[in-house]
Amino acid sequence: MSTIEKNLVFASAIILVLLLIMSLGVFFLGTNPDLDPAFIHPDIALRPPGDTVHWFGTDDLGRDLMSRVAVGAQISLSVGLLTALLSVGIGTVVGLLASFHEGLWDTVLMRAVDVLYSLPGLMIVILVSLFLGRGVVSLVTALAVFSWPETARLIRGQTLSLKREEFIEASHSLGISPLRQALRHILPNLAALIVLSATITIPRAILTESTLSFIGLGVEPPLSSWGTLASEGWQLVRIAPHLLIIPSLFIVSSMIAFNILGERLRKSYNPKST
Amino acid sequence: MGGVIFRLLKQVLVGLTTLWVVVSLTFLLLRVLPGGPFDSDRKLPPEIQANLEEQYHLKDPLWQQYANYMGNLLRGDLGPSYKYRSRRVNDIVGEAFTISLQLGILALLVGVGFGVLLGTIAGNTSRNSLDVLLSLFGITALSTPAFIFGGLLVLLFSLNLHWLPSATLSTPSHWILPVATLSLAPFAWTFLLIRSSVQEVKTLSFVHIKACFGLSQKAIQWRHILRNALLPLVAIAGPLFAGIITGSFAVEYLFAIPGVGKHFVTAVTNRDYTLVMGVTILYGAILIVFNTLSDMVSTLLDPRLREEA
Repeated sequence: MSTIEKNLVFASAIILVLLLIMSLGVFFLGTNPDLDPAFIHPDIALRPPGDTVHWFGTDDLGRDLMSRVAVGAQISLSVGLLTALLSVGIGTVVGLLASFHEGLWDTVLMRAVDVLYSLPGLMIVILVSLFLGRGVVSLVTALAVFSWPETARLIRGQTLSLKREEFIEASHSLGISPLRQALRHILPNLAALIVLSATITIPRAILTESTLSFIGLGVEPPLSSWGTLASEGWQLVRIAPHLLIIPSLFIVSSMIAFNILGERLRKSYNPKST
Repeated sequence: MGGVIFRLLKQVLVGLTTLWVVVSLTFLLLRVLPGGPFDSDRKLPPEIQANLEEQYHLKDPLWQQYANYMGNLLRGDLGPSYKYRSRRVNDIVGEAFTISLQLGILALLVGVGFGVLLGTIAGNTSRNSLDVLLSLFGITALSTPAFIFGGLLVLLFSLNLHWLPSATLSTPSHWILPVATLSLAPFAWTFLLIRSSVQEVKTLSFVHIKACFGLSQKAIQWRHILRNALLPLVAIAGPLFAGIITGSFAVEYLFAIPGVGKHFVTAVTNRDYTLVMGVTILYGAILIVFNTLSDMVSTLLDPRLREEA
């Protein structure tokens, strides 16, 4: 790995830590009325960025954009993280089940994966989140429904090849139950792959969520993710372009950071494909 | 040869089964959704509501509705629209799809074209520092959602420079920004794939042999390496197309284009179930065809995959 590459990975990690701190900082913003993300100040509406108090400027209602971006970080990042948790969880269980019950189970599960692959992802998310009502929880569920098959495929493939290894055969001949074998011997060997799938899932979830919020089918007000902010910014793009540009910068930089980390993990996991 | 034909037949059968499952799932999902197509803000008198539900067979038992729908579907009829009462779903989807299809094909051509071109150049670069910057470039392209890229393009080229129009598709110059926006995702995918695939192929021994035969670097790079590096592109035809669909939702919203994505979003808010189903089936079918075709072409091109069948 070259020095530039190392620096890029390091920078990505720092960006993500900063975003995390920012989204936690929201809890302290409410104490300062100038920076309260929900406090409306019509007299200072549409301030451009660079203001001494309002660093990122203000929106059409005079709300501080930096605080709103911080709240957006909370929603966008938690949608990404929760989706990864749920989807990788389901994918791991299904992948393990499929590889331990070769035959009917395997066929059924992998066919289910094929069906989900053939549905346009964004459309499933819209339909499922309609069914569950709009909100963070239903959005996360909807996103997980279409993203788990990828993890399941990866886990299944890896488990099948692990099962041919000698140490698994040895544990089998010692009479260890399949469940214990899966938990004690297979799962630890899948850890890297699980982290990798999570890193791939997070930016995709953030992308889908922000696209949905942008076209008006994502989380509902008063909740506002980065996508919602960008959507509001798009309505006012002629008079206050910073309302579009600043949330966009946050979406793109977090996606880049996750993608760089994912790429790095993929390379270290599979050194042949560098 | 018999093995190959058997495998292709199997792929077609699997594709058709998948399509049936997709249609049935969507049908069920829409029927169990709370609220019907005729509940709106303005409450209809109960008699009219009952009449409408009668007319569209919404009071029939579920299995009968399903049988009806499937029967019509086999004849290629997607049914009446619940919202635009005088129109058929076929007409609405057909009209919108013509627009989305043209936009999608243009974007694919532009995106894949530039992706292959720049990916080949990037893959043949041997300077390490430049290589990292190129991969950062690819990752940035991959990380920029279509709606942000499009929004920034409009901000720059329409609102600030006044070079290009910002909405609708009335003249050829109106097409430039939407096509550019939509081509970003296929460009990023192709660029990264071709780049790493070229890097892999150029280390193979046949490349050195060509060089020993005295072929120019250019001929080797653009003819012999590229031809071998293009293979993996076939395998991502499905994801590429899925990316175009996702992107088209944002692009059609940004540029006020009456394509399939825009109709889908309106149909969802209007609870126009037959229209939602029509669009889902159409895109599901296209994705299945793309996935099956890309499987088939991979099988035909790569003899190693035939062994697995």
